[in-house]
Amino acid sequence: MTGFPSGSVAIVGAFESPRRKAPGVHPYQIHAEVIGAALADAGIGIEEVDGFATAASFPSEAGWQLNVVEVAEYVGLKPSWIDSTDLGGAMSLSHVGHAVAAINAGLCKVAVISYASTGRSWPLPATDFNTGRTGPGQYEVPFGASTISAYALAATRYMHQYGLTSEQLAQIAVQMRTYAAMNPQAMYRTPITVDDVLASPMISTPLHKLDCCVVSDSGGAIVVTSKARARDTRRGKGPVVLGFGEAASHGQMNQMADMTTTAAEFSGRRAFASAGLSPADIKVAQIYDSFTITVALTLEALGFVKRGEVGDFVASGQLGPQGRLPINTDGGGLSSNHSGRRGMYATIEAVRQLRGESPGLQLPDPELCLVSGTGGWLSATSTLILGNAS
Amino acid sequence: MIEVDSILPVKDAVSSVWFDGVAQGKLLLQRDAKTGKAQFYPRAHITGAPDREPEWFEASGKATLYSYTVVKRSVHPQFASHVPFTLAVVDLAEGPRMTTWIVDVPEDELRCDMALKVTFREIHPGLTMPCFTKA
Repeated sequence: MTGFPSGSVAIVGAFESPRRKAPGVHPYQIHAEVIGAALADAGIGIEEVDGFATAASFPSEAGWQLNVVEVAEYVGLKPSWIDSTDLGGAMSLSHVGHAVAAINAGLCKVAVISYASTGRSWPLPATDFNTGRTGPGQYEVPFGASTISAYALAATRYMHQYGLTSEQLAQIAVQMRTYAAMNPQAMYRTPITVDDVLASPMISTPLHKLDCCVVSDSGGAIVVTSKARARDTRRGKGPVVLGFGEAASHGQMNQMADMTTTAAEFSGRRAFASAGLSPADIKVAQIYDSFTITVALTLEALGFVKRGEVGDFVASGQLGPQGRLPINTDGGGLSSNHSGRRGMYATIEAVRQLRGESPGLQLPDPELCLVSGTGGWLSATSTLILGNAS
Repeated sequence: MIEVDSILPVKDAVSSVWFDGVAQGKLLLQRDAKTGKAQFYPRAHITGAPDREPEWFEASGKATLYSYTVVKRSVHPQFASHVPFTLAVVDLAEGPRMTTWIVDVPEDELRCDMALKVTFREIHPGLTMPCFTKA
């Protein structure tokens, strides 16, 4: 156990926008929609919100300076605790973890965490170079290192060291599509096969188009408060935050120490320690699936699978409904929703799973759900362990 | 439309030294005089020791291929004419890694850990960068 106030804060409101394609819609409009819906889910009025966290950096997120301030203004929030920690796709998990600390420190009582992005439709050119062409980036950007190619580099190295195959990676995409087929809101619901994945266009070897997440327009929001305050919310309770950890790895791919594992090794260890739990306790998880390889590396980094064995783990159906660890039960980023920064949607799906309200595969009465976020190009991770309070 | 300018280096006091080296056909690295450990990318300090300045030295140009990806499709106008190209991270003989392109090696001959040597190529108009090819 660590000093983390495990179990003290509950998630009492959660809402994922059903939007997937929203041409012409500004991301701030989606922020307002999801914050309103998450507060209604919690049964808490907007006037009671005194904490707010969001962050943006892409044009599709309206990622200008002071974004968190502008979104608060647009929606009509007056926060006394504000956080715009930017860990890319892992950030919403970190915002939840930081909100737990803030609520315990008395900095706020009810915090809203939101995210919105029109990654699919925003008309401005969104660059996909990992960093800018100044400072460290000037040695990498001229070579055209993109987000996809960065993950592809990791995949090539892992395959070389451990013999993982493209077929095994494809099985991750196939499994996510199976769960998406159960989710009426998923972006793509038609079942696919391993052959479909392998026959889809090669983008950056060894990653095919169907090894990559969908690109959607969407948003989500979460409402957190103390376990005591949670008793007076609409549901009278909510999943509590048992464990949290975050970790930063690298900005440049040439600075990544080992491309066959991720910083989830560290954020996961911190989350398990703060919750007093181990991987063996977790029976369902939401694992950031920006690409199939992201899932493979993260499962090992978190300790669910021994190093080098994830190919066999996946091939033997362990991510399926009857497997050791069903993941991304809503269809994940690979098939349901990825507007950018999927950590928000992964966290919401964990909440729905613990409430018994997954729109995809609902497990029978899960007590715990782990959420793993991966930001940037395997750059940073955040891990949450949520559980149903007794 | 994103102009090609948007990917060209914005040189600063440190990187100017490195790019001057490239212009002379040299791949420069930095090292810590105290520990002998080399670092890349260049910085004004030793990474992990902000109070120590590095010294420059010329690398051997030898490397092995840590990982690679053949980029088949690019949404970036300035790279659309380059595809397919082989983006790579190489282990320099002196220790550090760097991001680069592998050139003149057919896709089916690429293997992780293969031996490489540096070669300087003008990869964009007016920009020469160290690339690597089969040793």
